[in-house]
Amino acid sequence: MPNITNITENIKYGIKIIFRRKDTKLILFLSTIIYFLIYLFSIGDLSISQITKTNIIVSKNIIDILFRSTGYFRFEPIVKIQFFVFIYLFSPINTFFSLMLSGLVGLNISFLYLGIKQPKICKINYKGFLASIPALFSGTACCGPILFIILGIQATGLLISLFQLLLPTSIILLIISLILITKQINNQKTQRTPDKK
Amino acid sequence: MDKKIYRRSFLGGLSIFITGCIGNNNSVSSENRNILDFPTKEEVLPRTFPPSRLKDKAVSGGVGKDAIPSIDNPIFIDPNKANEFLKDENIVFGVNIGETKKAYPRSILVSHEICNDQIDGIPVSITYCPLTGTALGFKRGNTTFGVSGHLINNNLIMYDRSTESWWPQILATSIESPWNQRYFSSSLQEINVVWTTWKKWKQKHPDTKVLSRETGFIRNYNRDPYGSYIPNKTGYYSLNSPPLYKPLKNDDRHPPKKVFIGARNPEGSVVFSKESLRQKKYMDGSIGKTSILAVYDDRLDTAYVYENKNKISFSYKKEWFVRDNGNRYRPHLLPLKRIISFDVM
Repeated sequence: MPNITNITENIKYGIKIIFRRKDTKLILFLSTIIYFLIYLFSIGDLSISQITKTNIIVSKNIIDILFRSTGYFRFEPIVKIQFFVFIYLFSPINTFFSLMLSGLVGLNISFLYLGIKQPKICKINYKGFLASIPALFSGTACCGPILFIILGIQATGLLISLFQLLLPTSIILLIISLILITKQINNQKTQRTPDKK
Repeated sequence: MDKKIYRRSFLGGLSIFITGCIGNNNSVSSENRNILDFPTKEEVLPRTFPPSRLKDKAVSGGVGKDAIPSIDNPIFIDPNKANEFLKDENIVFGVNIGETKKAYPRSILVSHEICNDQIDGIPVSITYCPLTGTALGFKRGNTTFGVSGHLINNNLIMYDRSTESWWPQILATSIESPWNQRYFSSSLQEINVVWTTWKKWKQKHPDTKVLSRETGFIRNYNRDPYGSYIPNKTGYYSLNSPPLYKPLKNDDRHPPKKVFIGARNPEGSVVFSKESLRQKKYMDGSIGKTSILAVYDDRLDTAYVYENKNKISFSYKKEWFVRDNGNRYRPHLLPLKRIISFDVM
């Protein structure tokens, strides 16, 4: 049975290392933001308009629609923000999921970068990173039918059902990857600083 | 130049629900009619398969019940206000009942698929399925219709909120559903819905009202997740783009997304190529033993389908259809029994 305390401590330590360095902090920030934007585009919460304007439209029945599902792991937006050509349909729940997913992806990418830059100090298990690759496509998980349409692929009931599993599977894989990577980092730290007697 | 109508075989085309269910004329029994809060036809429209088998053919569209929310409290605006977001070439679904004319922009309905409205005092549901390119209207009585999240032959399956029965849009006839154990065979009463452009509709009906974007939901109504119709059809709507799901019946005589004008009655169904109708102005065909006449209307870029049991001849002259006795008629007012018809991919 995995020790939750150890796992948590390992993750905390791993994140500290990321934040200790300017380059890994930058990688984390950039990859999180980029993935966040890509994910929002893929679920349609972010789009580009042909009309340039700036305005905000707030729903008149926020309470009624806030928790209303529009698909798997997708919920109704309550505010429409247009800034020049960019339109953001803001749903607090979609935004939360997106940020969580993006943060996990960002951390995985940062650790991969760290492993490339500091292989001697910090040997990273690349298998852990590979586990995060499906998550890069997870933005389409919510919208499987749309992806089939875009790619011109005929769907089947089985494929649609599998797509529904893609997002939770991706999140689980990313978390497992994070656990494995930070465990390795902690092991490396232990080897470099053996207990002094 | 006058054109004579000649007897010729109709273009088979892509008939989604072909004739075949002969003898399926079950009407709703009186005790079942009490279950329903909305009006139904006296005779049931044809189904290719038995209702229970149709239920088995239904597949998930990837979203749950009401995940695509119907518009239940529509607001309408004047054409001047609508011009702020509608271009001339944008597609609208026009309905004319009594003195009331309403236009439902496709750009709005693509995100909702159903608008539960009231026209001239009659409760109706204006429905649009993006995957089959069909816009149909139904009388809804005291109930409202919603999007079930399921599809059959790529077509929207609606459900009524009174009995939670399933109603495939094109079929307009109930099928067995997992949500209602008490199945009853019935077809919805329909109203005419015209697939046309904003420019043509407002030219013909300058006093029309238009569905506004204040639907109660936050959406980017300038964005169509499936593709676009203007300036050219792209994405899912492009001519050779395959349907989302494999059709129940394979037919490769025409490109997957070629547009036809479809019509059906209890005896069966018929389709006419819309492009052919544009060029020829009229075509004849048949449903069972009944002669059918389809005529094109330039003013709205639509077509009307009539039963022509007596095989009356018409000629076409400058947007009028002239009978052999010299009387002339507008395309939508021929002295024949009209059948509900609709655009379909």
